[in-house]
Amino acid sequence: MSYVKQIFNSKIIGPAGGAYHWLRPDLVLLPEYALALHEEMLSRNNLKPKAPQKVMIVADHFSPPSSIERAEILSKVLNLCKKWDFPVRMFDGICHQLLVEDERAIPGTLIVGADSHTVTAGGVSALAVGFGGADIMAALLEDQIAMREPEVIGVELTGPIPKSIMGKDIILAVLKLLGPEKLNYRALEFVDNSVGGIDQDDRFSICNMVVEAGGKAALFIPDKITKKWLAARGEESSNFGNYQTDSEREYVERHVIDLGNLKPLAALPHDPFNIAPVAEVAGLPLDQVFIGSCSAGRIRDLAAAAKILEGGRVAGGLKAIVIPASRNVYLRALDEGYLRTLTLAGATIGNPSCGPCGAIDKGLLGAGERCAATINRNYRGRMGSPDAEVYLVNSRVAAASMIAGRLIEPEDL
Amino acid sequence: MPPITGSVYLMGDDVNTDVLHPSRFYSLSSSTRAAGLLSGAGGESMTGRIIIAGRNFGVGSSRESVIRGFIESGVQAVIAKSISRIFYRNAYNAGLPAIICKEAAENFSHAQIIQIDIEQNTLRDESGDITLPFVPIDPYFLGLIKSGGLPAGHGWK
Repeated sequence: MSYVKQIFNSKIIGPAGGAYHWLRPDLVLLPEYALALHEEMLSRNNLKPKAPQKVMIVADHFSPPSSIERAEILSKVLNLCKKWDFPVRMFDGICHQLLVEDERAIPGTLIVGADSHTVTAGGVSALAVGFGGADIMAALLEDQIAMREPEVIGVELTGPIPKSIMGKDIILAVLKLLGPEKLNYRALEFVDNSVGGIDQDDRFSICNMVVEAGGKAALFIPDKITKKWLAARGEESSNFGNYQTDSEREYVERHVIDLGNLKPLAALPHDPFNIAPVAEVAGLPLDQVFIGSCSAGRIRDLAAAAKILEGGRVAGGLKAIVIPASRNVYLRALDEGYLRTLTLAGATIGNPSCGPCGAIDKGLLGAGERCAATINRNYRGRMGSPDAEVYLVNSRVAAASMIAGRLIEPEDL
Repeated sequence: MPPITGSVYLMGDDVNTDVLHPSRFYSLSSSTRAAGLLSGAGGESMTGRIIIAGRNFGVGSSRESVIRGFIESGVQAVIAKSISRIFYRNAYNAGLPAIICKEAAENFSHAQIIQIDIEQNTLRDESGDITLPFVPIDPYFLGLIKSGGLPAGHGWK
């Protein structure tokens, strides 16, 4: 039985009609912008979370608010939480990074969140699924959520991992292999049989972008790298629950990807599926480079960027923006000296938040501008003007491009 | 349920949420949200429209401001070859029928008047010359339409 199915089955509490079941979630994520759309209804009916110990409410999209309207929206959410006596994670970072740093996010849990990139938490072997706010209201107020069992596609990752490859390249290779529709309503299960194993931060990057293909969830079968992450979070036991990780798993499709053959990839405007080797678009002049987001703003990304920018200088006239994904990532990057290196090189460090991703905060693009970014979507208008171009690349390529002022692989600097 | 009658607004494949409803129209104000559908839809009125699109409709964000923008600007239903999972759920949660029909985009034209019969699982043009079946809606989602969306169905007024 697939790991996804084992988790799914263990959370079922009853029928919801048709092919749907009510499932009991273990962790419920609500970013402020999603909760705000239901604040009036919640306040008027005096409704409260049914199982507050399972809930995480995060101010990350308006962090801090950049307009009067957003300040007032956040204020409504803060007042509601005050009434509930519920602690808001205020400007601590992007909700998806806070989830995977949270002790409640462990292998075998069902995590539901009111944001599409909730799938990121599949990196800690949870069944993590994104929904709209109304579904999450059921999870918040009734401690249940309606779900249909997804079909599961298995992907085995093998071979040595080239130094130039990061999670972004691996997920782009997966998206290229599967195409834009195959994953809709389905879940992906990764088995990491690569030499040395895929870095935990890269696993988050990989799971993060499965939703770009409409995927319901993606998770890694838990292994020693998962255990290491849990141990680093300060958890003594590495209990994976009563799930079998080594039995024969049933999938609707199986794929094997040899990472040894991978080259750095880019998603070209204006579609995450418009994928080509970075080498094919190298040399394109850039107006901005952004390293950050729930896709790739983690310590692995900042370390890789700092290594490349050490002693170097951001190209004249280029807007180079780096935003750590969370307060923890920010602190660690401070301690390791990465933020100093990046700042000395001429990059601008933003506070932990979604930043310009989603065209929400500072760092938006104007018409005609071209940007290389480590984010997950390059749809028209995703980072500002619909007439701007966004190329999705890994953090090494982004850092090298900061120095060159054009798209480039670090090895070609 | 009475059939839904409306004028077709035709779209292509892979229309994502950032194009459907840019995040700058995220708001608690219904008039701002209504104005954001397709960034104003090039001035075309969306009142009473039935959107017909290709594959992978609504891929992207889970923002409910998107689906509220649809409803508040008067869209009655969405029909597509395939619909991205989160968009599909958001639509029914808000009481908006989202219908999967592989042949609709080829058989109906922009601004044509068509009718959706939810009970009979069919789409037809005004003359009755073209009748297309659509993929039956799961009873869970039919229940959401009948109750006027998820919040109403759960007694959250």
